[in-house]
This record gives sequence, C-alpha cells and structure tokens, in this order.
Amino acid sequence: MVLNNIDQARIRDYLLGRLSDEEEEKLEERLMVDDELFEELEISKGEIVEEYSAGELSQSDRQSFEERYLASPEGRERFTFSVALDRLGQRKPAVAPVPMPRHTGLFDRIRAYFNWQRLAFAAGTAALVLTLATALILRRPPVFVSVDLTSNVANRSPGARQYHRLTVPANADEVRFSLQLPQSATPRAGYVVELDNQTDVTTFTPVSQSGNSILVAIPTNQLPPGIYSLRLQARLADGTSQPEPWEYYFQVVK
Amino acid sequence: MNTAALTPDDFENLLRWLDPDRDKAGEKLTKIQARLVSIFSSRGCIDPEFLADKTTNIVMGKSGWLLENYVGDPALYFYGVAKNVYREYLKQLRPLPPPPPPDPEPPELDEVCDYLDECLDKLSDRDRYTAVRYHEGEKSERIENRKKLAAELKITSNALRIRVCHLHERLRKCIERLQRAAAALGKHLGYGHHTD
Repeated sequence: MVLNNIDQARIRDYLLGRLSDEEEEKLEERLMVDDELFEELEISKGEIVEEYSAGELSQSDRQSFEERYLASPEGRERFTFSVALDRLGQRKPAVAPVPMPRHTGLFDRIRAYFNWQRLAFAAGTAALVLTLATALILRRPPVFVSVDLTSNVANRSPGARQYHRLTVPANADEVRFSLQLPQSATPRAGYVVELDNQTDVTTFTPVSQSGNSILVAIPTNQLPPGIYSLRLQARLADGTSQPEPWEYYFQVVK
Repeated sequence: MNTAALTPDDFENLLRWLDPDRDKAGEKLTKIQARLVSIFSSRGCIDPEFLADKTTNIVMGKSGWLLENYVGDPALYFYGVAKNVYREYLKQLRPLPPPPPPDPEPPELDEVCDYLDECLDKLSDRDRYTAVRYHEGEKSERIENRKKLAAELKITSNALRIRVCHLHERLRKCIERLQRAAAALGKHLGYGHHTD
C-alpha cells in the first residue's frame, strides 16, 4: 500500500461530505481505476463508522455522515456490525493465542503432579487406540474421486451460475478438486481454499499447487448433497491474505 | 434505457468491449459493479445495487457502439453514466426528508451479536485475537493498543488496518450467510410474510 497521507485524508473528507462537487467527481474517477485508493475507501468506511458509534465525530461530521454513507443499506449494516463488535468485545475480551507462562505455587505443583499422572494414563490409552486405528486405516489407501473445476467469473449472478454436478461414490474417502486458475490470474505465493456450503465456510490447505492449478482434497463427510462454492484466499508477500475475485461452483447429487 | 430491449448480443458485446478474454472481462465487470455500489453507498443512496445495475444496463445498451468507437478505460465510461443515473435519482428523491440517524440499538443487534460470535469462532486463533483486540480501548488508548498489536504481530500499522479490513469483510459475509440461512429456514417453516 503506497498511498500517501494526502490521499488518506482526501478519502476521509469524501466520506464526511467535505469535498466540493468537482473534487468529489475527480476522486470518484480515481476510485474507479485505482485499486489501492479503493481499498483505502473500504478501510476508511469501517474506521469512520467506528468513530461514529464511539461518539468521536464532531457534530457537523456526524450529521453529514448520517446523511451520506449511513443512509445507505451498506452503511447501516456496517454500523450494526460495529456496535455488535464493540458489545462482543466488552463481553469477551481478546484472548492471546499463545498462553502466557504464570507463576506456580506449591499447591499448583502438587495438583499438577496428580493431573500429570491422570494425563499420563489417558495419553497411554489414547496412544494405544490411535495405533490400532492407524493400523486399520493404513491397511488401504484412501479412495478418492478427481474433479477438474474452472472458475465461473463471467457468470457471477446467482441465476446464471453453472454448477458442476458431482456424484460421490459411497466408498470414496475424499474428493480431490483440481482448481484451474483463470488465465488472467496473478500467480500468488500460496493459497487457502474455502468451502462454502451456503451456511458455513470451512478452510482447507491445498495438497499441492503447480502452474495454473491448485489441488485440494476434501473429505466426503463434508460433502453431503447440496450446492457449494469454493473460493481462494491468496497469501500475499506482506503476510496479509486477500480473497480472489472468482469462485468455483459445484453441486453434489445422490 | 428500456432494459427489456437488451439482448444476449448486448451482453456479449459488453464483455468483448471490456476485454477480449471472457474471464478477464467478467472480472472487470464484477470489479466495476462493486465500485459503483460503493460510490453510490458513499453518497448515501438507498438502493445502490439497483443504481449500479441501471448504470450497467445503460452501458450494455450502447456496447455495440462502444466496441467500435470508445477509446479509454471502460470504468471511466461507466462512471460517466453513473453520474447521470445519480442525478436522475436525486430528482426523484428531492421531496423526501433526510433519513433519520441509525438506531443506537438496532432491532437486529442481538441476532447479529450471536452470529458474530459464531463467525468469530470459525476464524483461526490468531485472526480472532486480531479482530477482537483491534477494537479494545477508547480514543488515544485504542490508538496505542493498535500500535502494540501491530508490533506483536510484527507488521506495520497500515498492514494491520488492511488485515482487519479483510477480517471484517469475512465476518460480515459470514453474518450475512447465517441471516440468509435463518430467513430461508423461517420461510420453509412458514414464518415468512404472506403477501397474497
């Protein structure tokens, strides 16, 4: 992101209705063709909505924002989202993903010793069960079905979508999807695949990636009859991820 | 523009005008539509999708001519048409009073909170932590908190803004999906509105 502070301020002024008609049109023309500026607009929308809900905008900015962005369905939806996020943050403070070490007293150490003994027994039992289960599973290689899918970027409206029909044999363990990238796609360092079953999204790491295709294996127990789409999240060099703008549609039938 | 007069050829011409490669053309059209919706929303339009569709239909109706004659970035032509569509929209809207401010406790808030909770659980530990932690604190405390979070994640403050924006987008889409699924279930069980 190489936007300068002037552009960031300009976007803020635009959303708060502080630009003249001419300035507004010039900025909107740039928004139509400049990806980074457009991304800044989307980021700023969220930030100003947050400031609005926290009561941090001046009276005139507040009123102008209400008459412009907040009057749109998208603005209202983002406002509700921001209030919900705030409420949830108060109810459930963020928990660091890595546990912090803490001081342990004598009582803690005694309790840990007995817990350890219980844990050792449980772990031993689990290991035995796991070994037996692994031996059973390894007796045969996984049965899979291979499917080639191409993206459907030219038919994005729901009515025009073309679904690849797929029948999963009862003995199959997984479906291996080979996702063909559009010719126009910019190659990325890595991808994560999202499976959307219309209610939930599950994430999978591809098995391999070569040239213009990505191979992902999805267990058949995750694919009951229904309509699905697969999306790609590209991993960018700066460590962020970005959704790719195309999808792969398919339908599992009995 | 009478949209009923549009033909499949108009759509094909539009795609060809946008790019000789059909996939690329589809991507460009999706991108242009998203930007028009965003601009109409920024200007406070109450039905941005309808206005963006109207713009696209007008452009589509001229696609045969555009294919032969237009030189320049198609996105800018779309924008030129969108300005006219917006002016027309304003003329129709003028007698209406300004919209009321959003309800500080929107009626759907409890439902959205429950869905948000569910959607946060679907994120990785790190993403969930980032999404929640980003909003902690008030004013200067919040700014300081975000600097610390960026340092903790070993990224710049701007990269953190972008990451959170993408996380929010995922969460909002997830909430929308759950709302749609709940509405479909309600309709299936007969809780929907009867209009006949």
